[in-house]
Amino acid sequence: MPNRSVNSVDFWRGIALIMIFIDHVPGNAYGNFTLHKAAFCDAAELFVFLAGWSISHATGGPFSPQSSGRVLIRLLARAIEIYRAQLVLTAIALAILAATSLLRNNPIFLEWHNAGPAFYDPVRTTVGWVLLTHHLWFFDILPLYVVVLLMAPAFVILARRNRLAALAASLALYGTVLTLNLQLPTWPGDSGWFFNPLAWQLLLVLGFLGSEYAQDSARFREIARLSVPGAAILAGMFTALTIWGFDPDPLSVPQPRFFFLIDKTNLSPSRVISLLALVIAFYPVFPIVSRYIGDVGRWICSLGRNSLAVFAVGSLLSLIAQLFRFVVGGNLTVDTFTVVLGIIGMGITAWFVEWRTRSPSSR
Amino acid sequence: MVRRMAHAIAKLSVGIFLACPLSAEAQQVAVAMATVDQQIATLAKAPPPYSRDCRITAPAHEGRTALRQMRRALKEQRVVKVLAVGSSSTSGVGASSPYATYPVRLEADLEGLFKGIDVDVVARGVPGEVGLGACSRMKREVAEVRPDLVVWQVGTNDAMARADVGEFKLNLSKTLQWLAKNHIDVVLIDPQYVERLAADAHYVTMIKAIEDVAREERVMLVHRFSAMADLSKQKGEQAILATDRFHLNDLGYRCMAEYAAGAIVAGIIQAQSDALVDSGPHRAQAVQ
Repeated sequence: MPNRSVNSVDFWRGIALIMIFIDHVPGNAYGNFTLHKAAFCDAAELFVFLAGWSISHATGGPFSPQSSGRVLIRLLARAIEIYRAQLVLTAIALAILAATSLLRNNPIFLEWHNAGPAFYDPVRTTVGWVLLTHHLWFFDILPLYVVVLLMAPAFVILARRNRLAALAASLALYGTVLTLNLQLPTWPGDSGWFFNPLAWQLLLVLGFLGSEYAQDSARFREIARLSVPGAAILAGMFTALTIWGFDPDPLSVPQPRFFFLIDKTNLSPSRVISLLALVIAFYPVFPIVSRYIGDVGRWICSLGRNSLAVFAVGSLLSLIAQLFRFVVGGNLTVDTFTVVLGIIGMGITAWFVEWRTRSPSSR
Repeated sequence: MVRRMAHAIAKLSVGIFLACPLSAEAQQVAVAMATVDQQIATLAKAPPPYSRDCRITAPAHEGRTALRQMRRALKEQRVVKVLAVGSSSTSGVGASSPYATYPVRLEADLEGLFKGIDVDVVARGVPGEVGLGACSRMKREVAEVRPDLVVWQVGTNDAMARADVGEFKLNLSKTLQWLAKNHIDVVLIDPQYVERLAADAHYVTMIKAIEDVAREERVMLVHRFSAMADLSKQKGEQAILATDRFHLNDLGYRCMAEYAAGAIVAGIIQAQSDALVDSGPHRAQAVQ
């Protein structure tokens, strides 16, 4: 992995990781320059779409597809790896909140980000967060990722036989979930999953299918190339609507309402279309960027290459940044300081992972 | 006098309906409507007192904002939907069991006050949530539950988080206006009382901000802070707080539910009074 050359997936995933870090410090002045301010979707959609794109490569791609058994084991192993990261992250996040509460002598930190049940109802909540039925806010992307990865083998195996059937199955599940408002349960508490995996699987499947077609279909690449101007106009319209503050009222839209809202939990179609328009519009950008990639571009790619470790450290750093901002107050200096330190921390993480992989002592 | 007039109105209504060739179901509805009118008239004559353990020197609510949608729901004899939005006090942190939380107690209190009415209190409490978070999820929760009334416990976490008061007021006002536009009744409940926070200037400012917004937007407000301060003075803080000395205990939640129920009853009585004024001055006297 560390020797992988710079590529568009790692580059855009690196960008998504930086944006997720910034967005996870609410009120941060730099949050005005991330994707959610210019589109109906945000970096989370991009991250999941690119995860689907990577699955195609990780499972052999269309030219040398792995066997169904190998696909199953590979994706299960990845799901377990992410599950393990989620447990460690949750434990550390709870400890950070508890320590802050002790240091500041203020119980409010014990209730931050849905941590309250872990401290006030620990018996049930310990079972809950280990089973991924209780999530801390801002630490809820990895549980989504675990569930969609557990679903992924079925879609990958089906797609390797018939891509349109896989797309139809994914769309059917998505449509049913949005129509019937189906949710995975949370416990304790019934707040529901912030990212509904039954809906978000669509992005993973679209990413996977996009990648497969982009690799083996000249016609698909040609259609994508011809769609760039239209997609750019569509993306521009979404930007204008977002800046204008367009947000449909859930009591005014027809039923089933999730089809007509900009709902993040259930990934409303407007968010999917917004992301796809951006993906197509920016598809030709990386080949141009790669010519002048330089150290910064290579460094962004290194973040994307080591996405799990970088995301995990970034999540913890964003929590620390939130707490720091809360205690000292928010202003441009504080925001600049925390964002710069956070991004440096993510960079050091990527370097460390690659150094450890290269180091003979780790073998 | 009030009861006699209410009875007379009820009998007259029933008599008129019975004289018409209505279905048995329609007749049942007519009788039930009369019964609801009677119950409201009785409550107007003698508002339900707080229980002995929760008794305070003045009512916990202010004003008599009409809860029209609640009155309509009662008169239509359908399940009355109440959405309880808030933070840890709504989710019940500190209660000994889910049955001791304020939304569950509120449901029982309202069903006790309005005999034969099915009240469904849906609790959507998110511990630690600030007002901005509640404002942004309010539309989603309302679209899902379709309540007649929203009981919104708000401000404690904003006060402790030292949230910007101006921004807090703006978001609260905008959300209350959206609820009013959609004909959903609202009762606000102000922050928790804890002695060590009572002297905190920002905490007090936030309580005043909620009071100002409630007055500007003409919504019913439960002064939980004042009511609990009164109770604390009488019984000591430990009587109403959980062992963490911050969240309410079972008695605290019971009293909170009683104060909310008192405000809701006052709002329904006001709505009934307004309706009778609209239908004729002589009938308005019935609930004076």
